[in-house]
Amino acid sequence: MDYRARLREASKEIIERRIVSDDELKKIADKYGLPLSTVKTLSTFYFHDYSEVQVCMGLPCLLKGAREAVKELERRGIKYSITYCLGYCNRGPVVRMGDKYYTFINDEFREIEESRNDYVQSQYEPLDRYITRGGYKYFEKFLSENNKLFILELLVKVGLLGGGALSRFKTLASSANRPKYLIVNGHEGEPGGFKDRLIMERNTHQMLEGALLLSLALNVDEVIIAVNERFRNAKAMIEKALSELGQYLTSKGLLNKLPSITVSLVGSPYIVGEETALINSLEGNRGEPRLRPPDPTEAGLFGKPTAVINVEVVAAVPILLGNYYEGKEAVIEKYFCITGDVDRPGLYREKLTVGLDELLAKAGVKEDIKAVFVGGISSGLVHSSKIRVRLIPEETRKLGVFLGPGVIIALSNNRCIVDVMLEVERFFSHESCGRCEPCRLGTKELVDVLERISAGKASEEDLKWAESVARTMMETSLCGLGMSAGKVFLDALTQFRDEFEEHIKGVCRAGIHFR
Amino acid sequence: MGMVKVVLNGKEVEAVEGETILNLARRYGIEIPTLCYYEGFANGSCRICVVEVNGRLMPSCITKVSEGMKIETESARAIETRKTLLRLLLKNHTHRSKEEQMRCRVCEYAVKYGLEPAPVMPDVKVDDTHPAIVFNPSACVMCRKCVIACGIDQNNDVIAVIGRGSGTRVGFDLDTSMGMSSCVSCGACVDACPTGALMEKGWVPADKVVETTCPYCGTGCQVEYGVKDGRVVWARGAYGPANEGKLCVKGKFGYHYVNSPERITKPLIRRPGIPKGPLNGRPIHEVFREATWDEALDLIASKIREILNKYGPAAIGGIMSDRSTNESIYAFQRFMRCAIGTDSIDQSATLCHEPSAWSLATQLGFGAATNPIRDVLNSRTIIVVGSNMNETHPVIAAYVKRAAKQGAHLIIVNPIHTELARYAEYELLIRPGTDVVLFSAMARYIIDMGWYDKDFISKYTEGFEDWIRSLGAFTLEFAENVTRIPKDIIKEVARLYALEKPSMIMWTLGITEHENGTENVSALINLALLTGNVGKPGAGLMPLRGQNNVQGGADVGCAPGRLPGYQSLTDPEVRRRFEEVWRCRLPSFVGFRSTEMIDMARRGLIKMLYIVGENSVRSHPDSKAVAEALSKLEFLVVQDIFMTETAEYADVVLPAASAALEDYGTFTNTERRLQLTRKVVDPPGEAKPDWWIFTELARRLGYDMGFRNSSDIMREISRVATIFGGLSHERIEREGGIQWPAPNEKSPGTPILYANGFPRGRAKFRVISWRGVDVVTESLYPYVLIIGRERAQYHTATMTSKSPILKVMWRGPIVEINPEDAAREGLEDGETVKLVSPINELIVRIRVSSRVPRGVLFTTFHYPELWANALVPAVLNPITKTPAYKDTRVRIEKLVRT
Ligand SMILES: Cc1cc2nc3c(=O)[nH]c(=O)nc-3n(C[C@H](O)[C@H](O)[C@H](O)COP(=O)(O)O)c2cc1C
Ligand code: SF4
Ligand code: SF4
Ligand code: SF4
Ligand code: FES
Repeated sequence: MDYRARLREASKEIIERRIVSDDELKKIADKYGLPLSTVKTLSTFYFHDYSEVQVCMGLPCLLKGAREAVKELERRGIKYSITYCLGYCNRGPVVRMGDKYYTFINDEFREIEESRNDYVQSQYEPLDRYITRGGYKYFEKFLSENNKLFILELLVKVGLLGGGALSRFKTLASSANRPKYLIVNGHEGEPGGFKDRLIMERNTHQMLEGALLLSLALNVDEVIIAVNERFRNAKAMIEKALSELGQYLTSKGLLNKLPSITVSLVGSPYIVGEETALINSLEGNRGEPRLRPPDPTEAGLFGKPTAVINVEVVAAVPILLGNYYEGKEAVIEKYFCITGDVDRPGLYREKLTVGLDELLAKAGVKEDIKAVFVGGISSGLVHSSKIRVRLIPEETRKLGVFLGPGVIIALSNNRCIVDVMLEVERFFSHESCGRCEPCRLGTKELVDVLERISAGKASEEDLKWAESVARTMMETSLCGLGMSAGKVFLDALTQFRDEFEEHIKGVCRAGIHFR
Repeated sequence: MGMVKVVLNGKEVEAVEGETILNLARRYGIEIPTLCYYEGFANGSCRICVVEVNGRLMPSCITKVSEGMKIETESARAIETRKTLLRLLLKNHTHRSKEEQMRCRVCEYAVKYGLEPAPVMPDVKVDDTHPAIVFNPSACVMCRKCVIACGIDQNNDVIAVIGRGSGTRVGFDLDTSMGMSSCVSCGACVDACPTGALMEKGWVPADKVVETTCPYCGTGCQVEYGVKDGRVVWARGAYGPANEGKLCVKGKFGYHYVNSPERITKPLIRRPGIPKGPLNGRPIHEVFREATWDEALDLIASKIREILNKYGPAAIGGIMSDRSTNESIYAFQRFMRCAIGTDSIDQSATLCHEPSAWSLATQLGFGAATNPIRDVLNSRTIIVVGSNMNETHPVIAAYVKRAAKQGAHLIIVNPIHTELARYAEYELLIRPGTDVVLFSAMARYIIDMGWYDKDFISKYTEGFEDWIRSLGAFTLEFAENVTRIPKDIIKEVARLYALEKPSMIMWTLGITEHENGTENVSALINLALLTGNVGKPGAGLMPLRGQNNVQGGADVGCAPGRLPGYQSLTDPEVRRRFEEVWRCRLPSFVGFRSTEMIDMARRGLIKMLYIVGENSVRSHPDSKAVAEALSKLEFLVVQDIFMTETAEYADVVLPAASAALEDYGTFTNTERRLQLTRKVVDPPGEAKPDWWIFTELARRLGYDMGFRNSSDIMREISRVATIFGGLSHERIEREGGIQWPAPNEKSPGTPILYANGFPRGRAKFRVISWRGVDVVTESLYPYVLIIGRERAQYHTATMTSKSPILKVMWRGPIVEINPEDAAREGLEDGETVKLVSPINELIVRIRVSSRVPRGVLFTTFHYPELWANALVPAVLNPITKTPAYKDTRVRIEKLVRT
């Protein structure tokens, strides 16, 4: 095996087997003939702060009492570590013990049913059922189309794809530099997000058909479905679906006309979901973002043109194609994962014309809402006075948020904004890949300042300093993570400056910090 | 290259398309602070270099210019941002010493931007476990330059980023201490570190810094030496075309010899009546007396005259050092040929790569590597054969490893397991001495499969049909049998080489130091011709030269029968031209190779030798015979920088300047690139540059060579040899190293040979044969002893042993043996045994090591405690007279303990 192949295999094994001990790493290095430093850097990146028991400190879990879960673990003397987003955010606070997932309710850890393999199996939609509901109906018709790019245009039209991405994808489709790749991004590391996992588990065939359709439109040679290492059930479902699909396509004599599809586990850290980081992870490197340019559509996986597209977007393609051939208007229902201070956290599907306030009402938001993270904590914080907007791209853009992950986290008036932001910045500081300075040190600095504010030991100077740090992060970070970490802090500071200043004077409205 | 117009700080300027803003600014003399910037690699992690571009902040080191950009390098916003970034760094930053702080750019910028530099706290916890380097984590700003240096540039893969998140840091191997790690001490991380967090132990600031070419191997790395009070105090990599800033442990930590108190500082004349031979602990002054230059040179001149009168010029021979400059070596050969009248002159190539040079010259035209080193990054398949390059040519290995990591197919052929194999796709542990069989079988298989380059062959080559006919015996089955490499692997490697092109072959002395060295090399050349892998980027034939100027030594004509620029002594037209320029009668006989000269001295045919910078007793085969030969000479002059074991036989010892650090001139590296050496320090005492000594001696013999300085010599070289026609010191100073042939001022040099065909018209397939070891020898001497080198030592260690740092990196005077062999012989690790070769025996300590396969022993010739070459019979390649250092048959005899 050549060096790159050995590196890839070793990295896969480290991730799949969650290898952290030096003894095991040494064995891996021997087995694949790699330097010790290489296996160490991979393991400590993917399993930084790892233990068999992990408590999710993602904001949705935190709002639902993750700190209590931690206290309970400590009381029971169980060794644990902190992690972010285990993927069952509507059932928080979530704790992982080995391969099982628990929620902490009424002082006890209860296994989450949806996380069990048998449950997931029972929700699976087999190929025949998918076909009866219209799956693969237009597949062959599409195959014979001369110009297949129109489905990309449809995605733009319904707001699932940006104009910039469209033109890059078109260039990729016509590039002669082969092989070309389509990576389906099934990472979903954003705290509060669980739609992609559910799609992979339940609408598996729909996603696979979407992937095949897109691969044809994009004229790529290989499709890789990159699944977060934590979503082992999803991977099992995809494997199951792929074997069904293989038979089906063979019987139709199509198999050899289509690009190959494989599924691959990638590391779980949040940053790995960033598309260039995802590519690095698939190559067997640390899942850190790459510099741009070049865009992955020019030089991505192994330096070849690569399109990275999110699971939800991919799964929407068969529906849009159906609409198109049936002469219907292209519309799509977007998935929303709503958590936080609402009565009915969970997955919602709505047209984008829905109002944010309506959506929140459906999830049972309380009257006393203070603010909402729209698109997740890495997108933006919206003051309650601004929630009467529709979620169409033009309006969300004005709000300065990005809807993609579909994560909505509501904060009630009982929440202290300083406390929330401290946890948000802890998340970024923990999940930063550590590559660029503004993010690596900026997130830590914001945590320090927020801790001081929380302790009533901060000054007006500190606020100014934090503001300039956050701005620097937003303007100079290498990737979206550091930028977001700066941006959401500024969102909070500009919209809730009074609360920050009150803390400096020793007042906490929510009564969390000083009573 | 296109040009674009941009506005830089309010001025419209022209920028080169594709260059970075940082580059543009530097060209216009505008300084932008940088921390993580690493030339040649995109890092972009510190962001300190931000500038404002059309109202947005952009890191200038990775942002390429584009038409219409408005760039403000000093806008208030850019400066404010830099200050914020610096404050963030300074909050997480302390130094352990004033010196460390002097090395720190963060602190330098802090002062520049009106901030407090980091505090010096002498008791911070540091890692000082490495013999030469200190790591202070508290000064580290995680710019990751060391990670690039170690893992992407040098590809030693010791340093890596540990962890994730804000606490990310750097660590060694599995996060162990630096001293315990697999660090090979190349120093690249130290040279890269912008903060002093990684720094040489005991570093002091220098008074001046001078750039020159590294004195060690043939890679031709550029080095900057720091000089304080006339002594070299440190070295660091400079950005030359061959090394791009990298060095190996010898270049980085091997400079101490220059300052050594053991340097010879005055001419020495043997006291009357003291027999020649080892000093055996006697102080030098008891054996030699100091003399003035006049006295010593007069004595030598009169001795030369006397011997010429008695025996004629054929009784005098000279062996010149390839550690010297082209200018000095040129002066030597002219002096020997004109002032003395002998053609028996040689350089060390005879002991190493002459088979490469001979076969390449015979078959292709030039006796040199065809492509630049860096070009291996363009190869899709790379065969490394008979080379332990990770130790002998670490900087070249860095490029090979990088190529493999980028996806090239790397194939290693070597009887012993080498470190480079970690990066390989295939490692072929070949049976020693069977290379011809392997490569001929590959060729035959490629022909059978129709994978050869018919176009190339018919257009550019001759002798193809004859050669094909000679391949009949080399079937895959035969090859598997003889080489012990499974035939499926031979097939796959042949496929890669022939079809995954361009393919490059690199080799070192494992190919040449055999009785059939020239055949081995020809097997490689034939294979390259067969597949058209010559004359193209990423392809080619690359002998890796072992000494800084062994290529140059041959180029400037220091070999019997070969005048400067590969012109034949026996060609009447050539003779006429040289005699005119040199105003002398050239010798009318073709002289002898160094190995032959030694033998002739032993047989009383040669009466005087002039040995410059070669430790012949230890570097030639059959040390006993060499010692006998040297003792028999009527007169021996040794010119060196140290009192070597060879100088102990001399009548006169002349103190030489170190060519790389104490003289001005040029070295030619393994890729035919002439680069400058500069005077970093003054020679100690009365030591003189080699060329000066030859010029003075010639004058005393009534022959004025007219050289006032080495630039005069370079001018003459370019006049007499077309391949150097366009080269001069001035031009190399201006443009940097240039690869010959460069026939005129306008020629940019020739990075790739034969891109437009072959100078001899057509390249030639050479029919070669192979024969195995005879069974009697094999049963009497069941082991093959391979004598090689190790990373931190150089040849007979006259230079490297002076470095306290290299000294602790000694692997030691041991002989490695396979565990199974050791068990069968009933030997334990560390046991002393007797090695018996057909000519000699030696008591040695063994080390059990799985690096060597069964039937093979490995040792080096570095250690005065282990004169391995004493075991090597003077079995020479019939053409180039190269000894078979890689193929000495021995048996092991257990010592009876009393
Ligand atoms: C820090 C960071 C994390 C991300 N994580 C994810 C993720 O988990 N899943 C995902 O689909 N996209 C994620 N992205 C976005 C990807 O970079 C990329 O834009 C996306 O996969 C493209 O798919 P789309 O354009 O179809 O939405 C992340 C981006 C950033 C900056
Ligand atoms: S912004 Fe953060 S996550 Fe992104 S590259 Fe920089 S350090 Fe890594
Ligand atoms: S000295 Fe060289 S090998 Fe050692 S850690 Fe530094 S870069 Fe790596
Ligand atoms: S040790 Fe030096 S080079 Fe390495 S990351 Fe730290 S500051 Fe940078
Ligand atoms: S010098 Fe440009 S980002 Fe560090």
